[in-house]
Order: sequence, then C-alpha cells, then structure tokens
Amino acid sequence: MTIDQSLPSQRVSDLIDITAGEISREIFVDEAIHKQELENLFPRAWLFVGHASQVPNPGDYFSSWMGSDPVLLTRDDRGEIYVLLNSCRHRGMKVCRYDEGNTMQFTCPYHAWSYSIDGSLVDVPGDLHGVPHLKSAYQGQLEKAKWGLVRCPRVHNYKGLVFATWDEQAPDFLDYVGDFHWWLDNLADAFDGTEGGTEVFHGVLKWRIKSNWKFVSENFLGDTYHGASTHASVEAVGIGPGGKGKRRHGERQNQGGFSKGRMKTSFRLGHGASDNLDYELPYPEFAEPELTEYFEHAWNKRAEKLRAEGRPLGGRGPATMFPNMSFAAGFPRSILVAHPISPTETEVWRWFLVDKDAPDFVREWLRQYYMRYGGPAGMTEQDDMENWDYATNASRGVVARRYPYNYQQGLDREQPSELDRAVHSDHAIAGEVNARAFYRRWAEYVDNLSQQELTERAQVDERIDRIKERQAKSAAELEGQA
Amino acid sequence: MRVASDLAKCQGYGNCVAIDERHFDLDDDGLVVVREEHVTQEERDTADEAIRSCPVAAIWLEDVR
Ligand code: SF4
Ligand code: FES
Ligand SMILES: [Fe+2]
Repeated sequence: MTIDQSLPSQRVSDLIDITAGEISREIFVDEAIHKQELENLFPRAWLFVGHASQVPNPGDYFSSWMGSDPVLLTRDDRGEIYVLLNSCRHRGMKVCRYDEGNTMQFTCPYHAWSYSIDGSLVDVPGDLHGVPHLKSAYQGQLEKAKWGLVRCPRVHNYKGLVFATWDEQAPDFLDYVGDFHWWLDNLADAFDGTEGGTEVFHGVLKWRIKSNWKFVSENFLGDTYHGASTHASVEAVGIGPGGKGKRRHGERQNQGGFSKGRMKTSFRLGHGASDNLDYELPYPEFAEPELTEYFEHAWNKRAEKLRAEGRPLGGRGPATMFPNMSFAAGFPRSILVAHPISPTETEVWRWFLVDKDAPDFVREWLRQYYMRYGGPAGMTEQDDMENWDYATNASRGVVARRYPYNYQQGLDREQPSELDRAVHSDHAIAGEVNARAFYRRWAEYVDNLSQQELTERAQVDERIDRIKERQAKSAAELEGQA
Repeated sequence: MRVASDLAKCQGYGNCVAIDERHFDLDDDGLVVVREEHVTQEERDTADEAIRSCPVAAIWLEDVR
C-alpha cells in the first residue's frame, strides 16, 4: 500500500523549521499528513505494546494497538511472548474482541477459522489450526501454514516492557532507544532498584480525546513549562503524597521544576525527558509516616545499589520514547500511550506500575493516588486534556492554519551532555529543545526516509557541534577582551 | 476409555481425523463420525492429541461404565 497519489505530494520536513523554531499547525490537523504518519511512521518505529506481567501464564493474551492496527500480545505454551495481528485472514474479522483473557486458541466469530497459540498443535503460535468443513470447503487443500494470523516479526521484552515493530529493517531495539534506556530502566526497575521489579497494577485506563496524538507525546517529552499555569488548581487542592500545601509529584518546594541543576534531555533519536540523570530527586515525604519510612528505605537501598554500579540516580521523567510512549517513573509511575485515531482524535491508554513486592498498604495508597491523578477522571489528566482538546479545535480554522506554532525557547542555548547524541536545555522549565528534536525525527520517518537513511541521519548530532562552536567563539571573545 | 462426540458442536474442521484416523472419520456432511469407540492404553496419547486439537471441543473421552 502506498499513499494516495492524488494528494499533493508534500514533504512534512518543509513544515518544520527547527532553526527558526517554527512548526506548521498542519501537522496537527491535516488528514493527508495523518495518513502519512500511519503509513510511514507507526509501522516502522518500535512501539510499546504492553507489559509482560499482563500475560504471565501460557494462553494469556492482552489486546493492544500498534498505530492503526489491532494486535494481540500472547504467551504460548512454552512461555514465549508473541505479537499477532488481531484480524482474521479469511475476511478480516477481529478474531479476539476481549481486552484480555486466557485461551489457547482464537476462533473467529465470523466463519470460525481457528488459530492456535499452542506450539504442540501448530508449528508457530498464531498459525491456522483448523477451518470448518476443511474437506468440503477446500477439498482438504487449504495450505494452513500460509494462513496463520500475521505475526509481528520483531518483539523485544525490555525488563517486562514489551515493544514491537513491523519493520524487519528497523534497527535493534537497543540501538533505537540509545542512552534513553536509563529512563526506561527507572520505569521498569522497582523503587528500591531491583531490576525489572515492577508489574502492571490493575487494568488499563482507556479514553478518547479530541486532540492530535502528538500533543500528548510532546507534553511528556519535556513540557515542564505548562505546569505552573495548567496545574495550578491541582496544586491548590493538594493531591500529592504530602497532601494539602504539598506538590502533586511529591517534590519539596525547592525541587522539581524549581530546583537548581535540573535540565531537560533531548536525544537526536527523537526521545526526550524533562530531567537529566544527575538530577537526584529523593522519594517524597508523605502525609502518612509509614509511607515515608517505606519509601525512604527503598530510596536508600536503590542509592546504594546504583552508586556501587557507578550509575546516577536521576532520570525519572516525565519522558517520551519516540514516537508515542510517554511515562513517568516516579510519582506517579505510569505509562501513557497515545494511539492515533484521526488527526484530531486520540485514544489514550494509561498503565500504572507497582513494585512486585509492594505490601498492601503501599498498593492501596498508590491506587488512590493514581486514581485522583491520572485517567479521564484524574485531576491532573483533566487539566492537560482540556488544553489539548481546545488547542486542536482552535488550530483547525482556515486562518489559524496559516500561522505556525512557536518553538523558540532555548534556541541556541543547548548545553552539552555526557550521553550519546544528546543535549540538555539550559533551564529546568524553559526550553523546547526536546520538542524540536522530536519533530525533526518525526519528519524523517513521515517523509519515508529508508531505515538506512534514518540511521545515518541520526549518526551525528550537529547540535553538539553548534555548542562547541559557540563555546569556542565565546572563549575567543574572552581572549580578545583580555 | 471410550470416545464420545457431540454432532451439534462439530464444525467439520477435521483436525481430529488428521491426527487419529483410527477413531475418527468425517461423514458425507463433513461432520465427525466415531469409527471406533474403544481407546486402548497404547492409543491414549494419539486420541488425547486429537481431542485437544478440536477447536470446538466436540469430542472427548469418558470412562466406560
Ligand atoms: S475436530 Fe472437532 S469439529 Fe472438527 S471434525 Fe473433529 S470433532 Fe468435528
Ligand atoms: S472472517 Fe474469520 S473465518 Fe471468516
Ligand atoms: Fe500536565
């Protein structure tokens, strides 16, 4: 399938001027561009599908989406994880219409073709295992091996976080992620630093917003600028760990966006985080002393473990792994995927994570906190959704579309980073460097550069050269003054 | 043990026949026919596999009363 050629061919990179810090509104509202995203970006990027703890046993499945396609995350009889296209090979019926469950076979509701994930019955889980009236309908000749559920060729289980891509040519997952993996580690590891010590807590919250999916990615990627205005009322209510008068993520007043030494981190590969690895933010003080004690213990254990490994303690996000997996690895600890529905509609899924060995009183506290914080009824989430909905709506107009958005914060003020092909903002709150890098990467995918070109382009981060030039220039100026 | 079947459930997938021809066959309508009810100890594994392979659980083993 290729893009409808009747559309005026346009390169989306022409709509993005990261040197001037201007991005056209078209990329947030235009049908044709949305279609190009679905064709060229989502099937070629690594996407978050679900968590291994959602399918712990043989036969477990979880229904998810990868871009425009419904998929099933399954575990076969040998414990292997698969990602299968949830669409019958006969007439395309959604073979499984449940959100999650356990079965060794998916029998299509339409004409009952039956697919098995039992490796003792079929060669590869997902294969077609039977069709009604095989003898009379196909004279026994149907080549079952050819008509199994479409299997996602590349699946990577990173400490329980399951990612997949449809593209055989895509880089290995670890190359795709690069040094951004430190943020994924903090998401997947337990609060006390135990590797992969987390699991999904209860179900997944799902809801739709009348907004472009990129608003969600961009917000988590490093938009700390919106906090003070957008979330003012939430802060006034005091929904955080410390209760009234305390902040919603549990930071002390001199921490978080207000702290010294905090910078955003932006990767050439498109990923971004609102913080940096050297920025340590200990777990909060709670209104309940037993929680403070529990988390203090966890923090000390983690600090000891990580320091022994020579690993910095920061990197909690909020962050976005390109293109549409956002998360925060602290309070709350939650994954949020923005599934594209149309240019102006997005289905948001929120997973919450909890330490596998967390005692009941901690789970119960987190459950309450997660509910008042996130999801369609959570207060922080409502604040953000309101903005994204109205921003999308007010950007669709004929006149509105003539005027680009402004992404000029921190232009040419990027700071060097010790991480591979990454730079930092020069301020904790101001700085749109992350968004500029995200949209540049986005355009490279949507303009359908080959995987090889994508890799080559991201081989160098010319922002680092610019920083060096700037430093050399100011050093020369200083010398001139002397 | 003996084989039992439920023709109301059978959809004629024919999986059972492909695995265990001794006990199962298809009739002219493509539905299952039990050729041989009795399952010996040696035949047990094959019969079990055939039964597990039926997508609609139309066949099973029962004790001989
Ligand atoms: S496998 Fe089941 S459905 Fe198919 S023919 Fe045998 S009994 Fe009938
Ligand atoms: S659409 Fe699935 S069996 Fe026909
Ligand atoms: Fe927000």
